[in-house]
Amino acid sequence: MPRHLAVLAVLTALGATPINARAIEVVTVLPPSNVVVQPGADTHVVLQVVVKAGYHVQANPVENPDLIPLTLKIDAAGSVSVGEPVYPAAKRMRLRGDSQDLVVYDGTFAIALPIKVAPNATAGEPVTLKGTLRYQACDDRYCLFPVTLPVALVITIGKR
Amino acid sequence: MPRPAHLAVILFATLLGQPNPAAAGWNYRIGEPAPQFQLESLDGTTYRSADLKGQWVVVSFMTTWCPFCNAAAPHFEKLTQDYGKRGVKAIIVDVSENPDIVSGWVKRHKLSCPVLLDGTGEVTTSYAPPPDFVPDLKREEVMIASFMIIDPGGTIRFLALNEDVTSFDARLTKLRATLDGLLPSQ
Repeated sequence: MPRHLAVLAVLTALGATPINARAIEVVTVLPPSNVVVQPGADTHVVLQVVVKAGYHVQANPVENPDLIPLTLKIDAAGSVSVGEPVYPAAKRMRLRGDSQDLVVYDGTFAIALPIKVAPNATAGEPVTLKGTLRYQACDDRYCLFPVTLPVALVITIGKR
Repeated sequence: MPRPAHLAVILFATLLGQPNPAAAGWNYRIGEPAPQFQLESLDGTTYRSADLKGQWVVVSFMTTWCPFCNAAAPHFEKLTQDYGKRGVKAIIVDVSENPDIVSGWVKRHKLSCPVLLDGTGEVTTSYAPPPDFVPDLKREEVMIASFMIIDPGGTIRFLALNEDVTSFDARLTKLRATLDGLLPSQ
């Protein structure tokens, strides 16, 4: 193995960040666990979203249409249909010299996802809902390229 | 107890993961020759850095989705107008975006300067500070919402990066003051 690759391997194993690597994972999605929903139910599930300390993401909706709102897209699957996500209220902030507020999320917040289960759904059937969370994050100095994260949550159909 | 060699490797790895204190100086690139580029603008014109020699140039690296850029855009247009009369060429380099999106943004902000499309981000990266400046960001990300002055000889004379939100200068006050100091008196 070439010497520089060996050094890189050692550093990686030690958890160090090689120069030029992308080290920042700004947003983590925590889908609910052990979700059991009855056939015919019309309810919602809540996904927790955690933004790394010091960062914020653009809220949904944004007030400036040029900005990229945080957007959860989850597809229907099997006996489960999905509604439009309900986003939390945003915080307001303003950059110095700007004439317009920004609306953002930071810390931990929740997105409610309406779901409906078909009345004839089979009890015990696990349904995996898949989709994405798109966001654009900044800290107080820099803005990062928009990111699209894969999201999955498992719903188990309960007994009637 | 780890062997000394192990400790040395751990120390080396730790140092690599830390921001360089020199980064706080953020005077990178000043005094260096501006990297060469050839980019196409939104209207299809090819711009070569060599063609800009002989005039003062202000370059901003922007994206349509960046809040800092949106805040600064109207002030950049004002600067384009004000300093254009004094022979300064203002240019925006858009970083890695779809031209249709950029076109809409330019119209909304009524920007009159050329907007060059750096689709791959390579030109933006060539202008960025070295990796020890904010090491955990992509080099293009460090440059988004930055402002640069290049003199008629092709030397970088000013680079404003976002040091922190309290120093973010949407009105481009420092850029204007620097230009005023560099340009011949009116």
